[in-house]
Amino acid sequence: MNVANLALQQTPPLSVPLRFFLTAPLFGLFACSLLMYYGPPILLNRWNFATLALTHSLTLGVMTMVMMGALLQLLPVLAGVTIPKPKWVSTFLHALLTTGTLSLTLGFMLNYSLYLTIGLVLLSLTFILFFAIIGYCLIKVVHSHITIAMRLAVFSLFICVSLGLILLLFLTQYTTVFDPAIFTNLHLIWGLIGWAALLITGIAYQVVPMFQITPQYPQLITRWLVPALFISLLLFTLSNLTGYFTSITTILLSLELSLFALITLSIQKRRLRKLPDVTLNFWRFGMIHLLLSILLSTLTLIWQPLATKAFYPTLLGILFIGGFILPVIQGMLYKIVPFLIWLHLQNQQLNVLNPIQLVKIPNMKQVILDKQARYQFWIYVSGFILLIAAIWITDLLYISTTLLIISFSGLAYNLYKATWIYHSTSRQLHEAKS
Amino acid sequence: MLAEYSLDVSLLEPCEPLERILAALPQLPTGHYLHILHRMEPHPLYPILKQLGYAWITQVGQQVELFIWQQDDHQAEQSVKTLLKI
Repeated sequence: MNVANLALQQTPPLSVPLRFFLTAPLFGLFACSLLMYYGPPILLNRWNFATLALTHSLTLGVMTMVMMGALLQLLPVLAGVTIPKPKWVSTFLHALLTTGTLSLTLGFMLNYSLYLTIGLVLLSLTFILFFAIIGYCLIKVVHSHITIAMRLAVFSLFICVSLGLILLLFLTQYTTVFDPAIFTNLHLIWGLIGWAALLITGIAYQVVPMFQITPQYPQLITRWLVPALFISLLLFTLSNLTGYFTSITTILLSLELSLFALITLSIQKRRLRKLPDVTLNFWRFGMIHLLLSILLSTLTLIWQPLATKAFYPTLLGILFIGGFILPVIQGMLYKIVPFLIWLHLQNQQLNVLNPIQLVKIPNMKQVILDKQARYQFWIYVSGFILLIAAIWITDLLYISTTLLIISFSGLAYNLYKATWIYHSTSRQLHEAKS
Repeated sequence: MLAEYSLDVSLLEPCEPLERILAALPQLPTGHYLHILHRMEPHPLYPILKQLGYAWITQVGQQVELFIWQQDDHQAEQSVKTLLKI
């Protein structure tokens, strides 16, 4: 592991990443309320505007929200680069992303072009600011396999956002010059595989061995897998635009993503300290569903009619977003948030005269109790399984959504309680100092 | 008598290693040093050690080894340097 680059003293203020992490479960609840409000029809058609509102509240409101916060935190720590005016940057980015996502989803829900246009403007500003700041930092960073993953993930996000903005222009009828179906597929592939899976892969190289006490990922993988995935995405795009070799590029992407999932599962099986850990459960759940979603999409190459079945895109979306990305993100939050809180309290302790004796700093397991996180995990798993079943047995949607609401509320409770613990201990430290 | 106190934190997840090290330091008698086995370089520990008045040497190999002693304890310092042939 490239721990020599861990410049922990450069960690930005806690509020910089935390505002993003605390907002994500609220968007999860918002997405659940859409499921509850629209009911079973939301799962029937991917082109349904309510479905678009649902997917964007999850991909922008939860996924991008957490990943943006994580990048603002990890860039200074892992790559040793300082983000200029981090509090201002995070405040603006967070406000723009939150309001932009809300406007966009409202625009989809109400099919109202004014809200879509406001969403278009706000999200354009969000990503212009994000690319300017993060791009500047990523140019300056030390070259490592993690920073390569960050660069390629951010570049993928750029492609995803550009395609998304073009599609929004189409929806708001500013342009009608292209086939939205192909652009939509490329938009979601660059978002879900390019932005999400690439960044998860790069961050996994650091956080899985560090927090789950596993052996390191093989060097060949840490060096080549992310660039290979990126090149495969480019080839996939070309093949989709031209109509040639689509099967080959699909297989290539499937093989590379499977490799990541299988190696992660393998090093987790060989972890050095075999104690129960809820993060491990989230990650294993995520990797298994990544494999299942790859299996499902690869099946369409053998049995093409599968791709035309109404349930296929919904099932694939639920497996990939709900089964892979969201669990991995939740698992990461359960490690990163307590670790950051502990780290910041430890740094504050340094400013007090005797760091050992004055105030007891809660350790990571006290910041978020494993038992509470475990309850939340199992409720999420139950809600997820019932959501898949609801594709065929539609009445199950309401029970599934209720469970998912409880699960996201549990996640919010655990994260907000952790924040409260931070503030109360921080107050004690300052009182001890004065 | 061996001047070394050993502590293996290599199988502990963050933040346990730092907590164990901070708990072990006050029990270090004069003339003794703490030898720590770690999986990674403990960057957050260094400023704390500095503030508490400890000196240290880190050796990064397959495993990370840390040798910590009180800054003004020349006997412990000498033991570490003899051990590491510095």
